[in-house]
Amino acid sequence: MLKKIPNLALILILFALLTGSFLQAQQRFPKPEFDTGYVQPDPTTPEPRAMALEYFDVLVLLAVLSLASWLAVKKRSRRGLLWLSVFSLIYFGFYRDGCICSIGAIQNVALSIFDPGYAISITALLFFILPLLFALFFGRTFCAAACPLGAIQDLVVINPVSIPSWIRKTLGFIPVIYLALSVLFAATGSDFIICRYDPFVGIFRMDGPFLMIFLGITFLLLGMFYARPYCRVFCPYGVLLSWMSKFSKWHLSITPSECIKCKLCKDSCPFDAIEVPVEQAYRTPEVSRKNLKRFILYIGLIPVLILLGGWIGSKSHIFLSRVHPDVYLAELMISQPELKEDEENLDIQAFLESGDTFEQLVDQAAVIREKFRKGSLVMGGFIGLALGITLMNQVVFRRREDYEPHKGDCFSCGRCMDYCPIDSQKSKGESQKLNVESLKLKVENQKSVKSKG
Amino acid sequence: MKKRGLTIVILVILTVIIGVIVVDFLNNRPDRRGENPYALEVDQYKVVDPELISHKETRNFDLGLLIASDMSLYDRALYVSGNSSLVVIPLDGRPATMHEILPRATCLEVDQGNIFVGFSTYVAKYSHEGELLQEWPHLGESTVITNLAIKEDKVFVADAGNRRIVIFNREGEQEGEFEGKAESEAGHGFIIPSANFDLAVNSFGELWVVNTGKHALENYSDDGRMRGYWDKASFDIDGFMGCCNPARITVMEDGSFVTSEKGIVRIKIYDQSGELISVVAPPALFKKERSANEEGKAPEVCVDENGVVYALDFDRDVIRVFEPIESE
Repeated sequence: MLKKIPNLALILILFALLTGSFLQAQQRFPKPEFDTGYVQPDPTTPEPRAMALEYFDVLVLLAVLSLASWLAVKKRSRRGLLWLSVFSLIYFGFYRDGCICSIGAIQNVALSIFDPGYAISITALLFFILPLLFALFFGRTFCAAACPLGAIQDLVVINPVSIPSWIRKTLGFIPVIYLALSVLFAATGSDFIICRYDPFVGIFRMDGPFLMIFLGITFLLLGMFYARPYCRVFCPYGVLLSWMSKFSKWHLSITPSECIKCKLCKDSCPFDAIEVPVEQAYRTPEVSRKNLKRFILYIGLIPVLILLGGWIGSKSHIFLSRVHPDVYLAELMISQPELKEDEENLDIQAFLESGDTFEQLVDQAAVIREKFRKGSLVMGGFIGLALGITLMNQVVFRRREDYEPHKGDCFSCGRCMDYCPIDSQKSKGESQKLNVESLKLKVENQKSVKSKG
Repeated sequence: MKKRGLTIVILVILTVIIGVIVVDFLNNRPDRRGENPYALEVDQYKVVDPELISHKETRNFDLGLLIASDMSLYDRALYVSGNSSLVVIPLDGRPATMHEILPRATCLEVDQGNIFVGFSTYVAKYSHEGELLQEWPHLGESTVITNLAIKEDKVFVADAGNRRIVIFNREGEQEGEFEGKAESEAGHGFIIPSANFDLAVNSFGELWVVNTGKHALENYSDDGRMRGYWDKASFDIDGFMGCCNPARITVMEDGSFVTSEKGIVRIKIYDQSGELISVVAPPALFKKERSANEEGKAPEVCVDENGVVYALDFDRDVIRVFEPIESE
């Protein structure tokens, strides 16, 4: 295998050289001269790539996901995952300018479903599907090593703080709302807000509007103390990955054999994604009965929350529909007709130049608003459902004897494996049978030395 | 306590991030956007150093109701096409004469033998008395004929639609065509983003074609081989800016070029190697008030043996005469 690496590298270099020269050949029109003071706008999307290169990106993603899953589940190598995430950061982040990414692909998929005039590229579709498929089988290995946004945040984790569970769970609901809004806006053709507020794309491209750079730097600074803030508090794709990962059969495990309950893994996880063993106190009949009552209450509450969410959604559709430029423009031109004469207003001037009549604009706005009415209703219902399920999960206690990663929240970064004394013993290749008791003693000693120190 | 403090800081920062995103999102609306930071401010390029101005406007010819399309200078008379008419304006003050021609002429060229008039897809040959002698074959649907040039027995036809020069003899037989391609880097071929594609033959018999997309003037042999070129892409006065400039050219007796630009309208003189000699008419002399989307049209230019430049101002439908300023 090792002998083949130079050959593979040679093929990759040749591929890069050939495709690079091909791309250069696409420059066929001389660029205008802008040396004399003109400030060029920041590009919002990278230059188009040759189709072959887009497929190559998919291949790279597939390779990274496969390797990450192998490293997390089979090889159990934190170091491997770390270096793979650095590669993804360089390739998908800095080389590919953060585009295309699986997170943003949510919007392409949503638009393609609801707008028959929009055809999604096979690349965008695969970028959306592949990480979800891998999450379904192996957990969130995409987050561990393939996502450049996750990788850049992971590298700045210095002194992560564990915040109270109720705050964490409340913050964890924001991505659900963000997902619902981004799908609604994309499906109605209004806006791609995930891309617009991608905080790291400005850093990847070494260029961007002030707000983008500000958000990127702020997230990185915050990430020193609250690990992966974007992934945990904003990432809408994380919601989908979390759902898939909960069903994963071959998810990363903390220890390769018997857990000695040393708690080192829990301390090592900067994401508070380790679940502790369920204490005996929670297994009493009284607690079980109490939880059952609450469970039934929450189950009964779910339809109410769906209806309430749907009602709030439908009531807010007029406000939300103003996100669409046509609706906003129609309202603006109705309320302030004098703006038609304002030559400085580029949006209005662009509309007037388009040749469409004002009546056409109003009709179009009415159609879009109707889409928003239905979409907001569904969005509200979805948020209500998600809230209900989240509440229900609070009272579901599964029998758990060992420390285990939370399949939904775990990014499969492998830190816990690295800290697990059982794992380290195994990896050292000690031939003798693992003595659990002696390990426990060793850990206790280490902890006491630490606390004295 | 330390942990609690950090938790509060984390929550505050997250709240600020969410707040910033929401405020930005709500403010990114058509009536709430600030000034366009990328607006191209061109006013500074309209200012021309008075030292560079070599001509002054002395008189003009009003074309009345004629909506002119092109102009040519021959034997001390200006020939102007427009509507369904060809107007001949003698420069010695004699009254103008008018001939009826086929409608929608786009360009014309005159020599001692004939008047050649270009239409969108074909060329027609007229006598000096205005008699239609020949209609040449159509050059195809995508053809957009923008200008003509005559050299002895050849008529060069600029086809902006197909980015090519078509060569005819005087009888209307096609002898060839070329697209300005050559093996060298310079021979990319004609880049013609709009229907502005001019050509001229100078007094030495050299054919010069404007490659507007490259802001270049290119010299070709009669059979279409590139012999040389010069280009000047710049926002400054000594170059050409925008998508398609110089939009129109003519040649002086000594081989210098008179160029006419669209967008920021101005007329300049360059020597044969492309060095700016002077400015005939600065942008200030042309229509000042235009709406945001209205583009200044490049005047058609002709020049006589005394260096007097005749500019057909399409905005005002007048021929403006610029005479050299006498040096002291």
